[in-house]
Formats: sequence, structure tokens, C-alpha cells
Amino acid sequence: MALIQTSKLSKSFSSGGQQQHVLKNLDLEIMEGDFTVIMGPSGAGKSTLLYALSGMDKPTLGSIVFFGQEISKMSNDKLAVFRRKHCGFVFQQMFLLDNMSVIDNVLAAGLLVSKDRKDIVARAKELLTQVGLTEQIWRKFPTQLSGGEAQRAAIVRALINRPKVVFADEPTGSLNSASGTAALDVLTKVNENGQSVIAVTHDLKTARRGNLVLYIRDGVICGRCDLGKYVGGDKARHEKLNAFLGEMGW
Amino acid sequence: MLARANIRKTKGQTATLAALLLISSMMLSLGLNVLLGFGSFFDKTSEELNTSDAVILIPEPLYNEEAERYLSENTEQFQIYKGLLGPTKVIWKDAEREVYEIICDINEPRDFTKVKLVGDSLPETPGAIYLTYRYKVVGGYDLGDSITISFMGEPYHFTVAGFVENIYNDNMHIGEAIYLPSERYNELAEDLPEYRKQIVCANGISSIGKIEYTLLSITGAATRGYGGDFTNVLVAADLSTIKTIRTSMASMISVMLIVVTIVIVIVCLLVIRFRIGNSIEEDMPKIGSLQSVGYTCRQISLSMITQYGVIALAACVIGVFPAYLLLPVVSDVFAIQSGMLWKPSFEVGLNLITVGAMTFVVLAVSLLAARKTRKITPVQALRGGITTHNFKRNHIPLEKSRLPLTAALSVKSVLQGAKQSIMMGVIIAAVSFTSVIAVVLYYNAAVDLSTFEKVPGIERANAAIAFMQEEDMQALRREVAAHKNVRGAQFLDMGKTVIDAAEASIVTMDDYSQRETNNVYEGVFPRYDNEIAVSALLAELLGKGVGDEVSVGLDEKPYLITGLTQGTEAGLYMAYLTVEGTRRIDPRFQQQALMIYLNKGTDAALFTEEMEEVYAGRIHMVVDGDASFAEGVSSFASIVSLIGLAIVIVAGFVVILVLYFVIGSTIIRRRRELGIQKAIGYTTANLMNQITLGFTLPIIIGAVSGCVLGALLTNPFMSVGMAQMGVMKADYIINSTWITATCVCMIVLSYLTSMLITARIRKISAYTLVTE
Repeated sequence: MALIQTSKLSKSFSSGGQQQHVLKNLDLEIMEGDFTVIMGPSGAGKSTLLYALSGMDKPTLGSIVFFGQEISKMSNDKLAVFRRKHCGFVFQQMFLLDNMSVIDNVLAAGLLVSKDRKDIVARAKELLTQVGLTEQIWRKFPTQLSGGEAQRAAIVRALINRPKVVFADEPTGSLNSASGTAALDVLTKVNENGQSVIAVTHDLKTARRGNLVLYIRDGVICGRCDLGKYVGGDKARHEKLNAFLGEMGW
Repeated sequence: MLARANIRKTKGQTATLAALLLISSMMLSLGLNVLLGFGSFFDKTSEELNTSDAVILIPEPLYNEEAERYLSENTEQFQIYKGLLGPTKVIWKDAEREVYEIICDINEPRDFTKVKLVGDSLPETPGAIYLTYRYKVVGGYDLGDSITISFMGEPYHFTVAGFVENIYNDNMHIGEAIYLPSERYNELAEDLPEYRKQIVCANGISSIGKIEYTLLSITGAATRGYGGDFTNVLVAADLSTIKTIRTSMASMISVMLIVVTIVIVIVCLLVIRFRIGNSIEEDMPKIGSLQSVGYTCRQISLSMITQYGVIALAACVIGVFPAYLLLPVVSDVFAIQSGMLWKPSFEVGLNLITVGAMTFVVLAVSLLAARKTRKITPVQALRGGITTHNFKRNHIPLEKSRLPLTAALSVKSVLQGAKQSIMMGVIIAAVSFTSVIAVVLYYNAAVDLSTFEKVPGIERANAAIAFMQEEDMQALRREVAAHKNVRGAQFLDMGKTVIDAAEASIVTMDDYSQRETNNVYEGVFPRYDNEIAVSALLAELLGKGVGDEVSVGLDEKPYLITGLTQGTEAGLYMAYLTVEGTRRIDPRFQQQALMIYLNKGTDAALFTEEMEEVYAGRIHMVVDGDASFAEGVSSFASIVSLIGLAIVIVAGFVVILVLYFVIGSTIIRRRRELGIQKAIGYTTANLMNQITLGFTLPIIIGAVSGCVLGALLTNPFMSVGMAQMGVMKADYIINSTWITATCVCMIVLSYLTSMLITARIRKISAYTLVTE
């Protein structure tokens, strides 16, 4: 079943009096339960596409139907309500709220949706434990965390409201190798539990976790590679991805 | 260069701060101009007119050789002019007004205490009349208008040809003045022989009180009471008393303006300190990069100091000019009370003081606030600043809080930004405090004048009759008291004396417990013939208090001070004696002036008309107390209510500007946090409420505490402010409904303003956060 469908999706920015067309007439379909990876060179429009699909930004033209709802015409406030219910976000810079403890960061998102405080607190603790964050870390402020810890906290915040999709923008971009792998493991597990993941990345390790890789160049999707379900160190899968990316000129 | 870049970057906040400083500069300039300018204008005018140290009006038939000899021996020099003094009736703005007027010859040569025309004038004609300036601003007369003035019941018609200034022509002590061409004056002097006075202008006197009292004794003249026989009345005043009377209102109001300005300047300084602290946090990476390329901390902090110094200098210089646009308006308001046409000039010195003082305090506070940059190393700054490792307490943990999410996040931010919240609370408290004082003044001057009417300290009677001497004055009193519309009648006479060599007006009553305006604030009124109550300013002058002894009269009879009184009446030096007490110093004393208290709903004007008919030929004068009191209080009340209203408006404006500034800065500072919240699903309305609620808590605490303090301290504060005017324990009505309404208005205004300002959160998008 299609989770997100776009039709003639375009996004332009005006810069110095000139229109810059970042996304050009994209027709796209992302299926429920997929781990979709969007790759491409810098400036290709990857992040722009991710944020348009998630309702963080509005397209200039075209439509986006997300879980049966046309979101491209929604007001900013309706989009905010839509996001809090259906989308989770993991950013490269984590974007945790510096003035709140880890658990408060998670609850600040959770309590927006759930009125059952007890339930949401219990879920937050459960998720934090699942991603390997100890109770001592829950009480810390983001500036006291390592990059990996902060990213795992950000993932928990993204998952707290059981979103349909987790959008991840370079989720391992600012992490060391071990922390990056840990973060990817969490996202993979999320996907295994039935939630969709859409990630933008330059990182091959991240790309290998997806079952579908889309390659975007100059605002146009110029290739797609169906990798199948991720099952650990599958050599053939790696080679298929490398061949695809080679073909795309990556 | 850095300072210029900073100003450009924060245009809105710069404009807000500039507006606050501009208002402060305007009000300070206004206050200083009035405080120093009006006083010096009085002195300059006095000098220009070569005004004598004292003026004494002696009934012409009573002026004798002994008086002349006494004056020669007890003054350095004196000159005598001719004049008329007596009661007149004239229409002022559709209402008849009965007052004492001095009538003089405009062309009479004068060496000192001269008269000058103010403003335009018409050529002199036989029917011309020249009036004091109050006839214009209060009476509503203009050049070329016809005016009818009744002397002894006879109407005389004139045409207004000009307005004049003579320092001694005031509305309270000696009387308004009318100047006529020589021929017309002489005709009037022929018609009104009982009005004729010798106007003695004297220089080099030791004590006007002593001179007046001695002359009363030498000439056998009487002092002017409430009504009284004007034909043998001797009136005297010295320059300092007249200056106090004519400039005290301006002094009081200028002090109030300066106090309000100080509050606004403190608000500005708090805001500057807050802004510098914020900008150091916001621009930490920029500071780091500047440091890394070789800028010193001194240069960076200098850029901030320069930024605020330039804003202060520019705003204060510009702020001085609107003050000069307002000064003529203020001058017109003062003219109602002072009767002086003050044309403020551009005072370079005062303006330099205003601009210099304000710029200096802004620079000093900026310097102190910018010192924080000295502690920052380039590495710290590039990593995001010292706050990176500043571990805070997690206030209101969401997992435990029972508050709704928005409220919990608001309280969290209030507690985390405690300094900012305290600053906001203090600012709102200061502005609320000022507003409450202004509201109390307005309420007492425009809504319920019952306390305001007591400010002069004059006994409030609905009517007064000055009887001619009869054998049994008490029988007359009983007769009037028996009238169906009268609920009480008692004699209250006024006179002059010297107390420990100081001049004082005396009030004499049979029984002070019958007095309806109790102006004793310490001790009691006298009950025995050797007791006296004195006004606070007289007590201060004499260095005496309750329980001390003073000598009264030329024979220096001892009296015990039993009470201190307050009030702005009669040159501020007052003494209160019993009838027998007065007779100890003046055995000839007879009661004449009867205060009459009418039943509720009785028209005092109709009653006085009736009294004039019933006692025709037995009275000197009948006064409509209600009308004359209303006239006396109305000018004072209208000025105070106007000032009160103006302060409330300025306070509201200051609140709006401060909120605009602080919330604007907060939104800029928390842009990242707000963007993150939007990304995870917070709506603009959620965030507006969150920020507004965060400010509302300190605003409520500030407004409530400011209003409570205002309610508790207005009277003590006003007591200090009005002490110079003789009001030692102000007792203005503190109407709890109005105070509560002020508090509610302050909170509602702040809340609505906050909501309006936070609407700019709409412009912050989650997407901008990731693309920045």
C-alpha cells in the first residue's frame, strides 16, 4: 500500500532575483513499511524532497498525498498537527532542546499527542532503555551527551508518538563509526517493527540498510534500486548497491 | 564598524530602545525645563519688572504720618502708587465670579514693581482695560472682547485691550489686577472712594510679618478675612511668599515628571543590560570568530558599548525636541494656576545635562554588562559559548508535572530564565507602581474630589457672610443657624500676626471641634486661650513642634503648640487660635465672618442671594462658598488630573515598548528552540501561548506587587512630594476598584501585547531551522 504519493512535485527557490528549480515534476510512490534511502550529489534536492514529503516545507507545485491526505495544501498549523501524529524526525544535528533533559525532550513531543501521561512516560522510558540510554542519561541535558547518545535520544523522540514514518536527514552525519552503526541499528529495528523510514544520506552504510534506494540528480529521480530486505552483511546486496551507484555516477 | 553592523542587525529592537530613551529624554527635558526654567522665569520676570521685596496695600484714609515714618525707618526704600482694592463681580466662562481685585492706573510711572504687557495688545482707548493673564486662560477673555465688571453692585463696561504681568498680581494672596487708562481710573476712583488704597512697594525689609503687624497697629486697619470689611483692610505680601504660591504647582509637577522619568530610565537600563547579555549569548560564535582573527575582548565589548552609546545619544538628542513642542502646552496648563505667560526658550545647558546624563548612565550600564565578554575564550565562543558547559537544574520535570504541557513548558522557561523573569517582574512592578500613583491622582482630581478639596486645608463651608459689627454677634449666628436650609453656622475669622518674629496668618474659631475640614495631622486644635496650632511649614520655619512654646504678637505672648496642621492655604504659614486666644494679642478682635453649612441639596447661590436681601445694610459681603471653592480647586484639579492621565498613557506605552523589546529578543534568542518545536509538531498558537504564559507569570507578580505597593505608598510618596506645599500627610482616596482595574488593565495590556508580538513566531519555520 502506498504511504506517500507525489504528483508533479516541484519546488523552486528564488535567489538573487532568479528562480532555482530544486525539484522538478517528481512523480513518486513510497510504500508502507519500506526503508527508503534517498541519495545523490550535494545540491541535488535530497533534503528538499525529504522535507517536502514530511510536510516540513510546502511544494511550489504538485501534490503530496500522505496516508490518504493531501498535505501540500494544508496550512502550517494543520501540517504541524499532522507531523506530530504521523511523522518522526531524526536530524544530522539532532536538534534536541538544550534547556530540557533527555526525557523531557522525548516527553515534550509525546505529551503533544497523548493525554495519558502515565502511558507516555512509561513508553518514553521503555524506548530510552531499548536504545541503550541509562536512567542516569535520561536526566542529563543534551549538552552533556556524546553525539551517539544525543542521536539515540533524538530517535526516541522521533518514535514516541508511533509515527507512520521516520524521516531521517543524514542520521549518522555527525557521528563516529560506532555511534553511527548503533543509530542505524535502531532505525533498522524500527523498520523491522513495521514503521516506514525515509532517510537522506551520503553514507553507504546507511544506504545499505534500505530496501529501496532512490538516486536524485538536478531535482529529478534518475534511478532506483530495489535492494530487498536488509539481513545483515549480505555481500550480493552490497555489490548491487555499489553497481547502482556506479551507474548513477556517484 | 562592529557597532554599526549590530545596529543594522537588530533594527526593530534598536528602534524600540531608541523610543524608550526618547520618551525618557523628552520627559527629563520637560521636567528639568519646568523645574529650573519656570522658577528662573519667575526670577527673571521679577528682575525685569524691578519687583520690590514686599507690597503693602493700606486703606488711603488710614495711611498717616506715623505709618510713613515707620516705613522710612524700617525699609531701605519704598514707593507709593495709587490703587483701588475691593470686591468685584465678573463673568468668567459663563459663571459669575466674586473676588477681590486691585485696580490700578496703567500709565502711572513706576520705578519698581512695574507692570508689563504680555502678548499682543490693542491701542489704548478710553474704554480699554488691561487684565491679568488668568483672565485669558481661565476667564476665557481675548483681545477686543467686551467685559462687564461690577463694583459695589454697579456694572462698568470695558473692552479688553491687553494682558499684563505684575509679580504681585496672583489669584490667591493679593488678588487679580485690572489696569485702566488714567482718565478711566480716576473716574472709577471718584466713584469708589471706599476702594482707595496706598500701594506701598518696599525694598530692604527684615520681616514682612512684623511690618504688616505694626502697620495694622499704627493705622488701625484690619486684616482680610473670609469676606470681611474691605474698606479698612490692609494686605501685605513679600516676594518669596508670592513666588511659592505662583511656582509651587510647577515645582511639584516637574518633580513628578522627573520621578517618572527616573522609573523609565531604570527600565531602559534593565532592558539594555538584558539585551547585551542576550546578544553575547546569541552572537557567541561570531564573537569566537572575531577573537580568532585577532579582535580583543576590549574591542568587542567596545563595539557593544558604542552601539548603545550611539543609540542613547541619538535618541536623547532627538527626544529633547518634542519636549519643546510640549512645553508651550505645559506652560498653558501652568498659566491656569500661576497666571504667568511662560514662553520657554531653548536651554542649551539643560539639554546638555539631559543628553549627557542619560548617555552617561547608558554607557556605564553597557560597560558593566559587556564585561562578560572578557571571560570568553575564542575556543569557548566557537563551541557555542560558556553556556555549553553550564549545567542547569531541570525545573518542572515533564514526567512528574501535573500541569498542562504548555503551562509546564512556560513555567520551565520562567524558572530557567529567572534573571529575565525577575527583570520583567521588576519593570512591570515599577511601571504599575507609577501608574497607580497616576491613577490615584486622577481619581482624586477628576472623579471623587472630596479629599482633594481638603488639600488647601481651608474650612469648607457652603456660604460665608461678613457681618458689620453688631452688639450681639452670637445672636446673629443663632438667627442664621435657625434658617430651614442651614444645618450649622460658626464664626471663622482670619487675621495676621507674628510668631517668633515670623509672619503668619491666623484663624480664629469658637470651637474647633465644629470644624468640618480637619487639617490637623499631629496633635489637636487649641482649646484654651494660651494654646495654638501651627501649620507644618511654620513649625519647620520656627524649629518648633507639638509641646513647644512660641511667642505670638508684638507683645510676644507665650502660647503652647498643641497641634500641627497641613494645607496649601495662605502662604503656608498658618496659626490657629481660640477667640480668647486671639484677644490676648488683639483685644479689639471681634468675630465677623460666619461660615454657613447648608442642608444637602440647597443651592448656595440662591441662599446667598436670600441672605443679601434679608441682611441688607448689615453685611459687608456674602460669599458663595461652593462656587469660590470649586473655582479654587478646579484649576489645581484639572492640572493634576491631566498629569495623572498623561503618566498613565506614558506607562502603558512603556509597557508595550518593553514587551516588544524583551519578547522580540527572546524570540530571536530562542529561534532554534522554536524551530525544533515546530518540527516536532507544535503549532504557532502552542508556541505563542507558551511564550506569552512564560511572560504572564512575572507580569502578574510584577503588576500585583507594583499595584499593592502603589496603593500602600502613594500617600507617603505624595506626602514627600507635596511637603513643600504644606501637605505633610497626604490622604488621597485609594479606591480599591480603580487600583484593581489598573492591575487588571496592566495584565490584560501586557497579555494582549505579548500575544501580538509573539505572532511573529509564525515566520519561524521548522524548515528554516534545518536549512540555516
